Amino acid sequence: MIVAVVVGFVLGLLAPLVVRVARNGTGWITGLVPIGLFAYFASFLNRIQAGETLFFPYPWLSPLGIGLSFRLDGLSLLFALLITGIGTFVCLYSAGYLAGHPDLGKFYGALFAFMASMLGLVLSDNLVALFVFWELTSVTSYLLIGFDSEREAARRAALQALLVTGAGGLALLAAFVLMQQAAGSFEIAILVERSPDLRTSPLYAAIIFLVLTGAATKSAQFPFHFWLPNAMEAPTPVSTYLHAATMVKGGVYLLARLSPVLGGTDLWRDWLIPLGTVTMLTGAWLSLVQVDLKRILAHTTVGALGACVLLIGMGTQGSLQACMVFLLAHGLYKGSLFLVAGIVDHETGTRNAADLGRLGRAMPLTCIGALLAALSSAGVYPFLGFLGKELLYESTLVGFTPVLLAPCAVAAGIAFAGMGAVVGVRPFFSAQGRFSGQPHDPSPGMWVGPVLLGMVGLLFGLFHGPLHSALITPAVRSCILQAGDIPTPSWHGLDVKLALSALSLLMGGALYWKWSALRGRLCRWRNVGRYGPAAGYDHALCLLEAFARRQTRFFQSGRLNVYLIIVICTAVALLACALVRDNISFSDLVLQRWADVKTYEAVIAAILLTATVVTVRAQSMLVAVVALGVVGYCVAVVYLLFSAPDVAMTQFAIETLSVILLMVVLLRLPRLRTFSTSRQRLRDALVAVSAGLITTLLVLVVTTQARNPKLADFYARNSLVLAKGRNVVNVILVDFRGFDTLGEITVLAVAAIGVYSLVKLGSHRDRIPEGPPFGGEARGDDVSP
Amino acid sequence: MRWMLLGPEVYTFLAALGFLGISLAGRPNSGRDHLAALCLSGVGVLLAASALSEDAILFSEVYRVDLFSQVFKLLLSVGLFLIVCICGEVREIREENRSDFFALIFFCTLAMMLLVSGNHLLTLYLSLELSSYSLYVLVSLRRARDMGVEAGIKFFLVGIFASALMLFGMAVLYAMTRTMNLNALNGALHGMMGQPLVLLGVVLTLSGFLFKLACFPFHLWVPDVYQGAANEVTAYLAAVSKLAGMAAILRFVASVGQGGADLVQVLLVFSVASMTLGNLAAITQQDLKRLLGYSTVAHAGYVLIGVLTLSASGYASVVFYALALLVMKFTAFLVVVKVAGNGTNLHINQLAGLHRRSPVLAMALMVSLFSLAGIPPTVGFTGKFLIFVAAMEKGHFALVLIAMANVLISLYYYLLVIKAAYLLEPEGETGPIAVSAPTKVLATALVGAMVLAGFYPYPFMEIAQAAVGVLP
Amino acid sequence: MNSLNVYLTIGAALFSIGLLGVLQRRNLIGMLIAVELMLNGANVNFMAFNRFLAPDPTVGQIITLFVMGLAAAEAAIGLSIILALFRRLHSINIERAQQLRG
Repeated sequence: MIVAVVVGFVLGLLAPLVVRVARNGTGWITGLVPIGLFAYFASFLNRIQAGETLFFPYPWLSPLGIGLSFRLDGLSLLFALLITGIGTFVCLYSAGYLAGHPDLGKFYGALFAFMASMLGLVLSDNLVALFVFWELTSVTSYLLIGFDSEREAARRAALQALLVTGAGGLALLAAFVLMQQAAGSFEIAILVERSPDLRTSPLYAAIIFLVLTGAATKSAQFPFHFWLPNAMEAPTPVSTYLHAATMVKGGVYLLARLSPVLGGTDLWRDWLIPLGTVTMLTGAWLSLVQVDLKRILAHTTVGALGACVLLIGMGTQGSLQACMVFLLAHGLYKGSLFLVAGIVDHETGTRNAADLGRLGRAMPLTCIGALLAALSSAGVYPFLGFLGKELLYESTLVGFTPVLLAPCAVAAGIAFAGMGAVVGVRPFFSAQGRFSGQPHDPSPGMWVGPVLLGMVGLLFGLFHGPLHSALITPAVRSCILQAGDIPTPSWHGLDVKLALSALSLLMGGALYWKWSALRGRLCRWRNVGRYGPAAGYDHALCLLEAFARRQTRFFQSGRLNVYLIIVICTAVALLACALVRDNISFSDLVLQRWADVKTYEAVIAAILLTATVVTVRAQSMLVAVVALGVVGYCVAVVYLLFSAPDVAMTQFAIETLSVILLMVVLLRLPRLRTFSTSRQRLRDALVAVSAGLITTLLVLVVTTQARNPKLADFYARNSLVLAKGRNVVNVILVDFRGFDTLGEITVLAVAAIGVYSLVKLGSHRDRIPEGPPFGGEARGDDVSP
Repeated sequence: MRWMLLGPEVYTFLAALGFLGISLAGRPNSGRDHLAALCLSGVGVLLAASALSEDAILFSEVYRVDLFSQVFKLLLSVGLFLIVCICGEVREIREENRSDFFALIFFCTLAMMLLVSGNHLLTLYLSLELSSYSLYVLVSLRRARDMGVEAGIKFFLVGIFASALMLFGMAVLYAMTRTMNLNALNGALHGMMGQPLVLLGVVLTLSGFLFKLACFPFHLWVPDVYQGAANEVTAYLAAVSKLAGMAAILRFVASVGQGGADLVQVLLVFSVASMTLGNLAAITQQDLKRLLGYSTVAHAGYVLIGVLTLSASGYASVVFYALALLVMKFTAFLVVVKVAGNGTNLHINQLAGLHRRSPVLAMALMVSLFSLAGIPPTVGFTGKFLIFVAAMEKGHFALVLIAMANVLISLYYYLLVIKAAYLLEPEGETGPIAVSAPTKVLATALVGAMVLAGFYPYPFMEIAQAAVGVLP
Repeated sequence: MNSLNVYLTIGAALFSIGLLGVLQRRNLIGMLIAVELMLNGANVNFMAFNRFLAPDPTVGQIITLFVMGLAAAEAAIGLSIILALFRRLHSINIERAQQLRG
């Protein structure tokens, strides 16, 4: 099984080579891969029909409880066959559609990678693996949508599609991790067993919400539906494959797959049914105002996906059966219609439905395919589309609030019928046609897809008994835990749903005839789109960018002082929080007895502080350096008082050295003035004073708290262990000095080489690109000549 | 006598001294230097690998050689080797500075090796400073215009500022516990973490590590320095120097952090601020290096999530993420260095048409950016996933959600870059980029590593878990 | 105890005044000097804690010695960067170094 998934990725890498070798036969050769996989999956039909569920576990991230486990049951098989079956036609079709394109090899590579990811998605039994494949479909779709990269619209659409589905993917990942928290596993098979735990978990609502977000973005549910029509910038084979038959059904698949885990609760129904209904109506409504063949199809697809979500939300046996049939029917006829739209576009150079007509005679084969698909889409007996629509109506009639849902479903059915005809019939039979060129039937590779898919739709409709027992029933069984007998739908005579079917067909016909006029009237409402979710997406991006720009300008001003102030403010805020929380009584600190301070201590402190202030305030840098020296010597004296003569000596030496070094440098530089402006100075002073106050408080508090009785205990207990029974001081001295040889040499070496190379860097005045030479004319406010 | 105990350190030290000698001898020959560096760093990788199983506590417990430190030393050696691989012609650093350049990156790597083994606050401080010194100089060495020195001075001042704060924090910790040894601190601080002063000491001490890690509030130097430094130096900063920061913060927090609920809160604030500020700022960038700088800031935030779990699984996820970051960041910078052939900074628009000009580099860029964004099945995804799962185990739901929102924002700007490389057509005529065969092999290997380690991370996870097993 | 307070106050004052200097100076050398003050302050703190609180006085002394050495190296490197900057910009005013931003 893993081979079946991986083969697509491997062949994806080889695809450019195949394309180069095969030339004109590309379509037929590449088509062998999906058809082979199709045959492979079809070989499982018998076992699945017998009610088996096949598991193929492979070890993966075992310590995390994540395996690369695949499962093949009715639902997976239905999708796998759809993916490979339609994939075959898409492979054949693309070779003709994109003939001569320089990047055809890369296209096939991405296409195969996509197919493999999609297969992985529907076969995974582990949520993490499923997520991995889910994101892979998004990424490969990004490359495919952006394939015609010369157009800005295509680039934009690709980005939008990946952002929206990527966001959904992240929501999904969060949901999966929460599910793992609640039920302790990522394996779907185990989660199904533990579904009672999940349903009663406090995280349940969050999980449902996140799963829905993920599914809704992938399956273009309201309010994320806008990316799908925009993605029509993709080459037509991509639209056929991704946006009609497979990828957009990923969300539906996920909901169906998880319905035994999460479904069946009121919450599930309360979210899914409205979501599906609103999407169904939105898609149907928006499809009416489109003229672009592909955009019409995209919107009806949105509507159809809404119907699927609605049916899954109901969660009854009948509704799931309806969902599977409808999904299969939709995949077949919508794929076919997309291929037809692509052929028409290819031959006439336009996809504007209003401009097309009289093509029937010029391209009879395409016309046959289109007609078959349009009839299935309209739900004409005996096509599979008829069955799907019947079952949809039946579910809405017997399910929840039929008064509301049934009219909605019929309204959508009308749009599907009418708009299907606009795409599948009108270009071939309409009286007027405004386009250039001499259209004719394309190469066999291109027309074979629509024709065969249409025929399959017809055959399935005629012989739906075997279809049910082989595919639909197992698929429904994998979505419902305790499935009873699933009846094969049969002729019930004249009843309400047949009446509804007839009604939607009639109204669909009317819609078809009056479409131009109706569209004109509806277009006036177009401005409403300005307030839609697509505009929301644009707005959100704009806002995000504006906000990002503003905050960046604030933080990253390029001014070092601002950087340091941000650091200090953060530190001060933290310190202040801690001091306040600790309820330090400040009076204790202030009122400590200061009388004991010895005179020499006070003198040294006074000198030291004066010198410090002079150091930072002096106008002349030379004075500042001298003052720094005084500070350093005072500190050395302090160390002497601490009876640490060696430290004091070092301090003396280093301070002297520093002062000399600074003097040398200063003498080479011009005299400097300027501090900051007075306002800045005030701000800096405020920051520094608050920081200083808090620091002082801090160290004083340390003195009151540092005598920790716990600590004394700790040392009493541990001193022997810590010091390995030897004298600590000696150990540290000896060992530290041993270690610091390496450290000190490195310090010296780094400092030496640093100074050396920087001096070399500066010594090439000829390379300095601008400005007067050193010591020349003064520039700016801070250098006086 | 176990000679391998300090093998990698002593070896790197000698190599660095060698370059120092060459530099002082003063006959610049960059071809010879590069070849020597390549051989030396290659042998260094082998040496670090063979020293992997050493275990000892040296110099009265200030220096710890254990699996944790040795794994990071191996990563550092690999990082050094990779960086040396792309330093064949460091255009932006002058010929006569070339051997200094190599000496400094060897010294810096040495300092970071000392850092990952430090078991005493002073050792940590000392080695942190040492590694920073080399970097200050490396950054300032850039030839182009005034960017290098400006970046250098900003880096330097923020750096010593952070180190002053760190020193102050160490003083407080010392006063409270009267010890600076991490093991002793671990015992002494037990039950004391609730005290605000201890917390302050810990947080202030953290500032040095946060500076190294490019984490809020010490992140402000990052974009400026990334932009201002020579491309190769930026690559070193981004890919290698972060490793040591991660190791140091892990060891420190693992030693002192147990039971520190308040510490977790503080780290949480830092983490969220880093992610959010970094990602938001990256959106508006046009200079690719600057963009990657902000992405480093954001990644520091993700790393902190793993640290603040204070759990073994969280620490292990950080170690894994360190490996991931090394590969991803290096790959991205490999592309930067190669595409900007003359050593200038790379504007995002200059990537236009890269998939035609050099398919290998375009592929490497795409995979590395997807990996940085955390798209499966790349190593970046696996790393983030491990971190998020570890955080979820500790109940940080809100934090993980914020992180995910951030991942989404980051996806947006990474996609803008990928869009430029794959979908945009160049404006003028631009010829193909000459990419040498070794570079092609390297890029392909890196892409393979990112995908393979992403899809089958098990061996690396085991190493990471074993490595953090020695932490207290 | 009170002596400790005095020294700690001195250390804190050095640290804080150094901070003020770092923020207020626009002159790079001034900023460098101010940071040296801050490091001195931290050192005094160490030595004071060491003298009055610590069980073994060597640790603090060693730390102080190390910090002094590091500070000296730091000053050298800082000065050479400042010199290099001066050669490029003909200024050691930090406000001149604001090209990198945004």
